[in-house]
Amino acid sequence: MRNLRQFWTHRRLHDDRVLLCRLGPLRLWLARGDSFWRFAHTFGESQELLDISAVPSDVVPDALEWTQALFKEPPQELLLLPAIPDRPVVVQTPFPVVLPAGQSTRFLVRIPVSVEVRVETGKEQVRLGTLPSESLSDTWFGTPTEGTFCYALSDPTSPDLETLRPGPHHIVIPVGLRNASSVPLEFGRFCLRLGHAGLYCGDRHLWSSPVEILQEDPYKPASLVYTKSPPGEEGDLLELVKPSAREETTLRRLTFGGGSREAIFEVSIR
Amino acid sequence: MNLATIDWAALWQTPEFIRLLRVAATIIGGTAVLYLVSFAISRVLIRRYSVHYRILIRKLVFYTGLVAIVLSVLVELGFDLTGLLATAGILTVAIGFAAQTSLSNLISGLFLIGERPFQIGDLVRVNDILGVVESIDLLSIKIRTLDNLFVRIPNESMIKNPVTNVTRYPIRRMDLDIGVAYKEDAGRVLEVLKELAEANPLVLQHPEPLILFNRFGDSALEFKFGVWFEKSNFLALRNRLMREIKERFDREGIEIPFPHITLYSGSATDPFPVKVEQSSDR
Repeated sequence: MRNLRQFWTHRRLHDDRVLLCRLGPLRLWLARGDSFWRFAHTFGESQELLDISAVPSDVVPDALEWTQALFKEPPQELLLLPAIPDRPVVVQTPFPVVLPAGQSTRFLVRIPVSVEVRVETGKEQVRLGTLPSESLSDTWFGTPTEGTFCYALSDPTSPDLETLRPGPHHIVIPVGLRNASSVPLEFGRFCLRLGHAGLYCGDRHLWSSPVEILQEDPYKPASLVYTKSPPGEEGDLLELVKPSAREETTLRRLTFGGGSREAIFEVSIR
Repeated sequence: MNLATIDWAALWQTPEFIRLLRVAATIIGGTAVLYLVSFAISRVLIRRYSVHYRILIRKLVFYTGLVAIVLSVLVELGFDLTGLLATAGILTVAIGFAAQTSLSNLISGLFLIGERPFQIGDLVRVNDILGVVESIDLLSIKIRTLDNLFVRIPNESMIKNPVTNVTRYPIRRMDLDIGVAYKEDAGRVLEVLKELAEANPLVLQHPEPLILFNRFGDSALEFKFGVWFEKSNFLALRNRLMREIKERFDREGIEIPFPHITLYSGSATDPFPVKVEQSSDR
């Protein structure tokens, strides 16, 4: 497939046909019958695959666990949409980071996209399900008694695209970080809650709307602001998911961890 | 009695009949209103209070209303409530002696309601009973065990005995005791356990797993392997992790020993005679 845009578009599937969509490690199988749509997924090893092809039904693995949706007249139109993972992601930095007081920085984060499968009846779209493009590890952000259930990402950050090396199944998130407090900000990991970010498709990469993290008070959680405009790193972006840009006042929770602040926090609750 | 001889028109206008009608109306109308009010209250409270408090408030309203209906009916039927209330004090003492256990459960129930050590839906362990709390009432709590048995536990027992709330916190740690043969490299075992924890997606990356060389056991080097997980993943994680440990240890050639016993007879006696016999087919 020449570019990403062709993957995230409408397509038709006729009766008794099977479609195999390969996106990074994800193998998504879609089948349409005279009264149903069904889908199943597996994970492969390759990280770079990006294609969609109709396959004969005899190459479909027997062990697939299908999810089936029943229709009186199943629609022919299929739409794959990118989606943010269903939980916040915790980004582990390769080594502890210190941001001195008054300093700011920008970097890129890559996270595996989720794929939302929809069929279109002409008047409306029906969501069949959402699948992760990569199996992610669980993690916890907070204390053992209170916190957020998240996905763990290790070493997915870089100041530029060349070293970040995102695959076709990755969303690239530009993150701005400003330490407006009077003390250095130390952290080894941070939590990104991306529920309101917009998603954009370029020729080569999927992008999310930029996230600005502002640390004003060293003893209070940072604030996250999702900007409304698309990222400037790649031109001519196609908006696939609209952002709901606003400051996340309800999410003013602990954003940084692994530095001295978290240690203080943990000691204080014992 | 011949029903045809009754003067229905006159009967309907007698005070006794009218009183009976009022009693019937009080019972039927009052009960219906009571059900409606308690239902409306539980709907109103649905967003603000937990299931536990909703059920409690609904029951409180219902039974208070029921007592009011009974008293109204008694007054309507001509009973003198002043006398009834005068004897209530004496009755209370008598009932108190007769129902000490129930009163103890009742007071324990009030403590449980105030303290809230668990809620409806929590998985709790009381003595050897493990189950999901189905209801918390004034005299007892009802538990459904994991093999689907109904258990009623008096509130007094809940106050007297330690109660473990298994699902109180969102994450838990699963501790596995693992023994390997004395010939194995303990450092390599620690590494393998760390890799297993990192590779399993259900194991939380943070808090970090506890991997401890615990002690020199009778037959094995004993390790404690404690991994954190989201509380709903207990069964899936346990099955998967146990299988992965066994498979990985087999691949690495790490022996999980069964108990060995070496008998030593001491220096005062001769060693035990041992005769090694070869099988005939070799």
